[in-house]
Amino acid sequence: MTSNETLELAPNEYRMDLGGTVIAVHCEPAEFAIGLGNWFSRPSSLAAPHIRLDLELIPHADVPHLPNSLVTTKTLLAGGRFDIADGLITGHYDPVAARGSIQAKGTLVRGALMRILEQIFYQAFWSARRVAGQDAFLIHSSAVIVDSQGFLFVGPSEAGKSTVAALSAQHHVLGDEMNLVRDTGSGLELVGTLFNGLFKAKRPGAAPLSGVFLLKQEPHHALTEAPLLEAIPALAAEMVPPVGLGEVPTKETLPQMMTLAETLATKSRLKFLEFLPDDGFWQVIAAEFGLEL
Amino acid sequence: MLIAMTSIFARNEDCPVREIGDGLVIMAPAGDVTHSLENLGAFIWKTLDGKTSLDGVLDAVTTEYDVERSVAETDLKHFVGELLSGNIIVQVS
Repeated sequence: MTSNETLELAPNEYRMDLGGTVIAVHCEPAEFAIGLGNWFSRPSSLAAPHIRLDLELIPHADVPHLPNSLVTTKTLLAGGRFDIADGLITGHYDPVAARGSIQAKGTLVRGALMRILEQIFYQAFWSARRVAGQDAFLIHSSAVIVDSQGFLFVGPSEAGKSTVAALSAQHHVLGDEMNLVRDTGSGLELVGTLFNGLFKAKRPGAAPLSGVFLLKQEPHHALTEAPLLEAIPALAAEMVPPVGLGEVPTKETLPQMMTLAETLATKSRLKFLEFLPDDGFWQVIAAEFGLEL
Repeated sequence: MLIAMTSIFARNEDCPVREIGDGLVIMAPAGDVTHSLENLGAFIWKTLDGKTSLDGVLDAVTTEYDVERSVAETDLKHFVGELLSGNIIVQVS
């Protein structure tokens, strides 16, 4: 099945398109499908889904522990089931049928806690990507299109990804949380996703990936060489682990993240971006990449 | 940590390794830490083969690199201590 086909939406369905990898989410209660659209500020995709998930919100009286990661707190149970953070999210995924079910405690749809629930869709992406057969990955980053060229800004928490997005509001900001990179065969393409960060004016879009910048806050603006030995582990640390819904990390997971990082580093122009929190950094990028701002 | 020059160390086979240029990225067994080793560090790591004593490693280093032996010995012990605490090598004897 390809995402070029379209299928009518079910009343309780929200369909997300992550760079051509499409996930259908059938919600219980049904109104949550509208809630997902509102949360992501995107209408449902009409493209044919690669996987289908039944998402049920479970009422509960307890105050659950909220983990930082839905991957490292995940365990596999008998019968293909999984448990995340001691029952915060449970589920099942059948890779042959490309169908799964997820039960999430209702607290996860309250305000900013939705950003925790979002992470289950990172895992769904990896399950769907395998069905779609796409050569694509997700990376924690900010992404901006300028002059039809895509630029990716990468760094750990507090490195300045959301600051870069805010300082790039005059350009086409794809997002400041999670972006997708896919290998088209003729080069890497940068694609925005619906996942939310702090920057609210993100817009969907895609562009050839021209530059990847590892962020360094310094008292000046400069682009400097990024040695691969330093850059690849830094990029790998920001990759979404290639762990699908019915999977947990293995000893192969980190090497796979390194391979994705190596692809990104070697198929793009990679630099350190030393920057101050003002938009002057675009001048040095424009000079390096021949942009008309 | 006291490290004798007669000690023998081996690479931890549970650590995935990626060669990048002249260097190495070594992933810790827990999977959440990486170590980047540049030229000399990568050379030493490759020489820790489970058979060669640190004295032998030091011989190899001073043959390959222009460095004073006493300085190299101090740096080698410090470096091996770091690799050991990162669990990316193991002590054989």
